[in-house]
Amino acid sequence: MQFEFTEEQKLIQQMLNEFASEHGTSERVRRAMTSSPGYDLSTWRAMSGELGLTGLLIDGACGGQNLGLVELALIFEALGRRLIPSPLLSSAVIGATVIGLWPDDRVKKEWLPKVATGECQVAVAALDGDEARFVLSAESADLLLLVDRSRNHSTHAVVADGPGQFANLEVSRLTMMDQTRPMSHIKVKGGLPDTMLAEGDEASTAYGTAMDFGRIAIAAEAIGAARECLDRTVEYAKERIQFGRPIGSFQAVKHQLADMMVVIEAATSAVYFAACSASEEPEGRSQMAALAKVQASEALSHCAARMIQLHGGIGFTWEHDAHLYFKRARATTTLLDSNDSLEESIADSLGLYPKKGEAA
Amino acid sequence: MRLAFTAEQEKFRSEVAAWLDGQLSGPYRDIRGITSLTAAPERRRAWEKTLGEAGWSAIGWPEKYGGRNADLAQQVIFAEEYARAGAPGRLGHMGVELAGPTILAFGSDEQKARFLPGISAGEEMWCQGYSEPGAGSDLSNVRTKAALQDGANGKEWVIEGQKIWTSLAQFAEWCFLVCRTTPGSKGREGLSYLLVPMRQDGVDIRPIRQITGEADFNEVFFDGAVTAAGNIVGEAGNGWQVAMGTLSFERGVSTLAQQMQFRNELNAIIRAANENGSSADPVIRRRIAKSWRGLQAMRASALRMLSGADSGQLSGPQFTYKIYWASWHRELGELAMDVLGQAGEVASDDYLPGDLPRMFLFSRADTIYAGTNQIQRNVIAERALGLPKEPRGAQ
Repeated sequence: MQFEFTEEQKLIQQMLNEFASEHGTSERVRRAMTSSPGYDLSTWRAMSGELGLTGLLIDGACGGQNLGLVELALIFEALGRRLIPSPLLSSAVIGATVIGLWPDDRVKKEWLPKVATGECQVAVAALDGDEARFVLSAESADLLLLVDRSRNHSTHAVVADGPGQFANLEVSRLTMMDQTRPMSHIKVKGGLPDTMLAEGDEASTAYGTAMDFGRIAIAAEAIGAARECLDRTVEYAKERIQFGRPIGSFQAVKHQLADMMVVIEAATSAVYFAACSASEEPEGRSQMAALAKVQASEALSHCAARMIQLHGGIGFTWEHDAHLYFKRARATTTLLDSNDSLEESIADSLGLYPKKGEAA
Repeated sequence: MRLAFTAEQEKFRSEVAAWLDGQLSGPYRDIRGITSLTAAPERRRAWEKTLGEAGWSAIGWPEKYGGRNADLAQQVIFAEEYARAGAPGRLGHMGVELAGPTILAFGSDEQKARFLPGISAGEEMWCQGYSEPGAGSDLSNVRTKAALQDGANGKEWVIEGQKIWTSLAQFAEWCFLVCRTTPGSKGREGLSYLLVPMRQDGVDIRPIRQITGEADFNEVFFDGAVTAAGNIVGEAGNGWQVAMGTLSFERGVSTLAQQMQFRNELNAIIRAANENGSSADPVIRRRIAKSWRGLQAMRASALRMLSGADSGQLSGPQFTYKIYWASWHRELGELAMDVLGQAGEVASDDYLPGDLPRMFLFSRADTIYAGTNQIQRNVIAERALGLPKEPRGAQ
């Protein structure tokens, strides 16, 4: 038992922090989030090329880096600090996990090497009836995995004719309150494609695992973002003078900043712990992913709200970045299942009776 | 980063579990599960000795002082098994977790040889003489004084003053005492850290009945109490540094045992909720889930703190841990009462509350002792975040 980062993990952390500082300036993030693919192409090329982040979870045999969830957490924490928009969550975490868990080697060998290099972007859509709502990064996807929730997560693969262009599917990009994560609604026109990739328990397991890994990734992003909220607000509280002294010298301000640090440290510990534990003990994986997601998203909501309050009027402007964090916080609360529903699943896992949906 | 234990560590776990179960289903079954700090003191004193004889009292200490040189993983395992077995709260914890580590870090070889074996053997209990009526949050305002005088056995410190909120003083043989040894000094200067025997005429202990109806805390009056000139840790006038060193041990492995006790409390709440049906209430379910999350975050924070302890620098959780657990525990108390409902408000005829209601009441102290939440926020803001310091009034 050793709850410290290895030298290699520290190196990843350092590399990603440098990358995020360069690619995650306010100007670049704002330009990317309002662009047509919803992300910065040169940032994406650097992520998939030099850094190889697109292959982070993919097996070495398929050209990936085969890193673990702790490394994943460190990577997403650094990217989350600057809210860098990219299809990494959709493609490298959720998509690559679904494909990687399918027992058919041919499918893996066909797609994973391309996902690893970033040549192919995967989006995963959870289908209810003929509609999939709030699909991440579908507009730029080359491969779409349709997971039919009403049919035991049976998974169909659809190859794009061009990025985001799929025969028989209508993809409509949504304008979301949080502009840093491109989302679309998808409508199936005229039946599901017959390219079944997986079905039954294997499909459910693959999808469930991918959701859990995704939750750990967005949790890590959230603790990075929350720490950025704290750092920027501390800096402001030291500079901003009122009544002849820095506002950070008033306990009313100081104590709120201290409270931000308290929730961040707790959430950070929980995310690292969950990432580590989820890779070592698959049975507890969903519980750990729920822990990380809810804890981190609450921390970010707390910190982003205080960031606005403690900046005063300037924190309420479009020009200041505070609103980007505040909106990201809101979106993290509902993404990959709401905090409320995950909290319910934790309650079930703790042996509280009756379980949700069961009669008393 | 790795959480799993090795096969050898799991073997250690079995050894610990077997020993504890043998004792607690055998000779000590009468004190299994006791959580009150003051209940059955003589039996718990005997338990301390039994722990000491078997080498389980201070496992992290060096072997030559009665420890086992246990590493972090072993200490985690011991704390887990101790709580799982329902072993009683440690009467000796002030010695094992605060006095002992302080003497190990700052004491002379003579002091180590004199005091450490008694602590690890469970023979001598300790208490902490810090707070005074005029020195609570502002601990450096200590007024209790000591001066060196000629006594029957050579030079000795003669002590005058009053301490308050002294936990377990009524059971203690020794006290580690912060007092002023430079006449006329103020604040952090001129303080010394003395080791003082409690069973003597010059020491008067008066229990303070607290919110729970029990008396864990005491007032302690020193009126010409004495201790040998050599019973000073560090140099005269350097007591503040030593006292702060002791406080840093509160963030040490003792947090693990405390967390395990918290886990037992949360489990008791879950059992109570399942028994009285409040487990079906969505609000209660969410609050229990939230509490569980906090507990996991604390466990992870403790592991982060302890794994990084050797780096010498305080990591984030070392600043935030106290206020987090104290606030969490206070909420757990409120949750317990909401789960129990009115039944939880019934006390026994002699006004002793049950375990969970006692925890509800006692947890109001958690956010006060060992640095109030307000002081914790100042410390975090000033020391971790670098914000301007509070202005100080004239002393």
